[in-house]
Amino acid sequence: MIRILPASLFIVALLLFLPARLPAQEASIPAERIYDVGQLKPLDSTLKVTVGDPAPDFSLPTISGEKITLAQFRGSKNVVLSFIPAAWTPVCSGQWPGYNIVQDMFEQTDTLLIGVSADNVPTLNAWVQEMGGVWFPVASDFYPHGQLAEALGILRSSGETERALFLIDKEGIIRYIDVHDINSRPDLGPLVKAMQELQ
Amino acid sequence: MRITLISIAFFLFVLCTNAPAMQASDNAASHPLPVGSLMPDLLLRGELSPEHISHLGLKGSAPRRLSEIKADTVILVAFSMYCPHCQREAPALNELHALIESRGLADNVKLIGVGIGNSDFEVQVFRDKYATTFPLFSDPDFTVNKEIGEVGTPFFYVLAMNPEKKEIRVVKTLLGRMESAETFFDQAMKAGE
Repeated sequence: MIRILPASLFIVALLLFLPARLPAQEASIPAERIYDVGQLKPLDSTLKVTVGDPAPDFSLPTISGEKITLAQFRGSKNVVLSFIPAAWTPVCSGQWPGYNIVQDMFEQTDTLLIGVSADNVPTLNAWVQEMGGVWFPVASDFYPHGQLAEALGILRSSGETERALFLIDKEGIIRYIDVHDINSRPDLGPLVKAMQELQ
Repeated sequence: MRITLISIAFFLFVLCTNAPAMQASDNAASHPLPVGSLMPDLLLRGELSPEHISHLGLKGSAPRRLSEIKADTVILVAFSMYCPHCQREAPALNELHALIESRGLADNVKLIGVGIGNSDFEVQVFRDKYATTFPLFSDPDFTVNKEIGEVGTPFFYVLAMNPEKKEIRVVKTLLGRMESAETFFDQAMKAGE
């Protein structure tokens, strides 16, 4: 009896906890892995470009192992650059999963979304995988540190980027800019409207 | 004895390593209103279809108060278009709505969603993407969420409506996804008795 009881206990435990374990694989990032940065200075940089300017070209490594450039989409795709300040932080971890359900809106407007941060590739990869993956390429502006962000004027004094959205048309011209309060998520509505207006 | 110890050790290992993950996007500042407390008479904003305005028994278009909803029980779901758990829960929410109707309780029990931090556009994305059948409100500046305790998402409040006393009381709460729509609904109805 003494031997049967523990055996029963762990069988019960397995039955109880294994089903709960399965959905966890598709869960978003557990709260304890998110680093709370607190309230930050809303903006900490000076924008160097404006709507109508040509976007600076870039060549950035992505988490899939390939490099991505702006030039490769010239004449074929509009490009949205979604800069997030840092992996593993609260607002950022809640922004890109939302873009996961609007892939069709990007495709319908012939627009490619590229996620960018100044984190290095392994960090970005771990974070994105933990979120369950995203459909769009994720690029690292880590080295030379924040070079693209600096060219756009959105590199903060702390080395992170602003939370910002840039829409660049097929000719490489910036058509929409939203450098957002770093503490909050930009509304998707105005970006999609700007994408639709390029049609 | 040795087998007993090994079994206990294994049991503890299972407990430690397989703790169920909360199926919610929680936040550290969360302080939900406890069961038994009063829910503020929330100002509900957003675009509703004429059918949903009529379903909730509202007089007209936005804005409107929670107390204006004609029901004995309101199930309020705080969700976000950006929350992966809410995205996965969307079909179960429609199931919950269908369950209310199939049990003939559509006049007494009303299911509503509030898109925490979501603009009207973002709520519409959620509505379209998941063919949501019940009314959804927006909360672009987190006003509602501040009033309901800065909850993570999804978060369920089951509310007993008492228009005579002009009070709305919390009778059940749940952070995270429902075990199943039916189980949750049965628990919600029991809590409201």
